[in-house]
This record gives sequence, structure tokens and C-alpha cells, in this order.
Amino acid sequence: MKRILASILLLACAALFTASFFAGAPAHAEEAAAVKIIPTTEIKTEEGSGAGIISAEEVEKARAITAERIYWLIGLWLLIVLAAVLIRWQLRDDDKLYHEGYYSREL
Amino acid sequence: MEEQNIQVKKALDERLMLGALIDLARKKLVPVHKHTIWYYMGALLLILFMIQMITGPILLFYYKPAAETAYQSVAEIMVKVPYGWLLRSVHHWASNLMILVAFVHFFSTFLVKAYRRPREFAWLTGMVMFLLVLFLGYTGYTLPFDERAFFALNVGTDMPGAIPVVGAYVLEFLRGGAQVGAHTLNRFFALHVGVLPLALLAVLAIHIILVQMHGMSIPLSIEKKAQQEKKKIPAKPMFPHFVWHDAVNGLVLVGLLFTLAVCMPSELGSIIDYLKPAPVGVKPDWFFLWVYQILKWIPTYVLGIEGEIVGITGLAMVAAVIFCAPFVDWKSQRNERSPLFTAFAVISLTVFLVCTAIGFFF
Repeated sequence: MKRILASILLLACAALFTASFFAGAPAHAEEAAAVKIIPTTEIKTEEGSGAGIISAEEVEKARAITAERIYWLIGLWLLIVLAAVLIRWQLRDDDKLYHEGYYSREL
Repeated sequence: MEEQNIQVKKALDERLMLGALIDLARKKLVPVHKHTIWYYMGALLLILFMIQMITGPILLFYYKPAAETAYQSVAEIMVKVPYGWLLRSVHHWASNLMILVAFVHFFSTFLVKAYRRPREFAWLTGMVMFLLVLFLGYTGYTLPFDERAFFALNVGTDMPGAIPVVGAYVLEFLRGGAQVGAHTLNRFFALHVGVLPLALLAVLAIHIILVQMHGMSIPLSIEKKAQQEKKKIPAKPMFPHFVWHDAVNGLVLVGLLFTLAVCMPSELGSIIDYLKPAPVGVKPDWFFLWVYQILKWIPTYVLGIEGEIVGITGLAMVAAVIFCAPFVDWKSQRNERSPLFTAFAVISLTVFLVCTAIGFFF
């Protein structure tokens, strides 16, 4: 029963975690622009002016630790701890069987 | 419902032979003693390698391997690609952790003399993989083609240039010319995404087969103690015990990896200025700091020979002895204690730790 409850909790956490991961827009993602035909001359002007070059500041901004990222990390650790607890329970059962000589052998 | 499950299980078993695989894992025994913890390192390495094999190809979708575009494409991965910063950081930290765990795996197997008969070839394949992992780390470090990468390429390709006789050829082969430039990046890219991972996969397959065939090596001290006490060494089946332990270790490792990636995302240095002189105190990545520090301590000339040549030749000779340990450590091969090789392993570990720390902090 304990294991079933823990499994349900784990699944619920996984669902919440996955939903929060994909629902929130990435910190630096931009809305995709509608498709439009750009004349060649316009491209050349943009290239000449250095448009599209990413500055060091933008890279640093992308590296910043945001609250959203920390929440996500906490969610991930919660999942890991829950999964680890479930596995430990399983291991405890296996160890019990091992001590009872169910599948222990000696080298 | 139960009958359906049995039918599905039967159908899968018939086609994938899952039952045979599980039987094999159940039959495989892992010794349980005070050094059992070191047995987990191989699985951790395998997990990290799998993470690299997933994140690497995704990064390849966006990376543009040319001298003019490499830096900007990495900046785009960091800024424009959704979760690109996370992907690159996970790849970066998984690479660092992989090298760290590889060092732990290497030193632990060296100290417990896991190369004893009949595991000589498992040791040799392990050593080849260790070198491949180091080169993968180094080649990956240079791909952003920023200022740090440029100086790392200059210093790193200069070192094999000091090898007597073949040095000049190796240097030109790695650089694709006399100087570090566009060709160097192409070569390092080809090595990082093609040659080295394929070679690693091939050697890894042989290594895993050998480890499965021979089982885990038991330290000599444990074997002797069991013989003296006329006791048998207890062992647990690989499946489910060790597979579950590996799963927990793997989960914690993934947590640590993502924590590092979020809290310390990988950096991108300044854009290359070919005319700029190398900054003072430029250092290699942490896993080559010990080599850098040793070479720094050697005088410019030793007995009339260039110091760098002496240093690299000396390090190559030490590496050769370690590589050939199963064939030169006769005492261990006869299942006797070999204090000379234990001392050699302890000194190697101390030199590695001390030189890395000094190189890092000073």
C-alpha cells in the first residue's frame, strides 16, 4: 500500500514537473516571427550592420541563475529523492530475500 | 489481465530474449567486501557516457564547425536555442564529471591491482578508454573557438610537438598546418564528433564483454584474508541488487549534474584576436593541470636537452609503465603482494592531486 501511494505521488510529481518544464517559456526564447519574404538587398544591409551578432552581455544574461531555474531544480531533486526512496524499499526487500538465502551464493 | 501480461511477456521474451539476459544478470555475482564501493564507478561512467551521447548530437544540430561561425553558433546555442544553455552546460559538466570519475576508476583499479591475471586485457582496454576520454574532453574544450580555446589549442598541440622524432609530424597533423587556424578547428571537430566517440564505443564494447566474462576483481588482501580464515567471500547477484544500487547512484549523479549546469552554466570566453599575445598565466583545463605544473617545474635545459622534451619523455615513460602494469608487476601476477607497485600507485595519485591543486590555486 505504501509503495502504491508513493508511486502515485511520484507520478503526480513527474506530471507537475514535466508540465512546469514545458509550459513556461524559456528565459530567452523569442516568439517566432511570421514567415515573410526578405529582399536580398535587405539581408545585405543587415549583414553589413552586424545584426544578429550575439554580444557577450546576452550570453551572460542567458547564464544567469533565475528563480524559475531554481524552482525547476528543486522539482528535479524532489523527483530524484522520491525515486531513490522507492528503489531503496525495493532493495530492502531484495536484501531481506538475500539474507534468507533466497538467491545468495558464495564465490 | 494477468494472462494478457504473461502473453506480452512471453512474446517479448521470444523476440528479445529478455529472460536470457535477466538470467545472465542474476547468475553474475558481485563480491561484497569493504572495497565494493569502487565497483560502482564503471556504471557511473557508462551513465555519463550515455548522457554525452544524447546531448552531443543535439548540440550538433546547432553548432557550425568553421572558424568564422563556431563562436557565434555557440553563442546562439546559449541565447537563442530553447534550453540551449542547459543542454550545453549539461554536456560540459557531464564531460568534466566523466573525466573525474575516470580518474577515480583508474586509481582505484590501479591500487587494488585489478589488472591481475586473467584481467590484463580489461586493464589495457580501460587504459585506452581513459586516454580517449581525456582527448574527448580536450577536443571538446576547443570547439567554441573562443580565446581560451585558441590558447589551449596552441599550448596543447605544442606539447606533442616536443616528442622526439615524430613530434613535428604529430604537430602538423593536429594543426592542419604550421599554425593554429581554421584547419585545426576542423580536425578537432572531426576528432571530437567522429573518430574519438566511435573508437570509445568500440573499445567500450570489448571492455564490457571482458568484465562480464571475468567478473569483478577481488583485492588480493580480501582474498588472502578469506583464505586464512577459511571463509568464502560473500557475493550478491548483479540483478537486482547492484542494478538497483547503480540506479540510485545514477539518479544522484543526474541531480548533481543538473545542479552544476543550472548554478554554474558553461562559460563562453572572448572572441579570438589572432594578433593578441597569449595572456600571462594561461592554463589548460583542470584535467591537464598536473602535466602543466610538472612541465613548469622542469628547468629550460636539463643536461643540455630541452626541458620540455625531458618532461614529456619522462611522463610518457611513466604512462607506459602504468599501461603495461599487468606485464611488469610480476608479483601481482603471481598473486603475491607487490609493495613496489602499491607505492608507485600511491605516489602517482599524490603527484596528480598535489600538482592539480597547485596548478589550480597558484
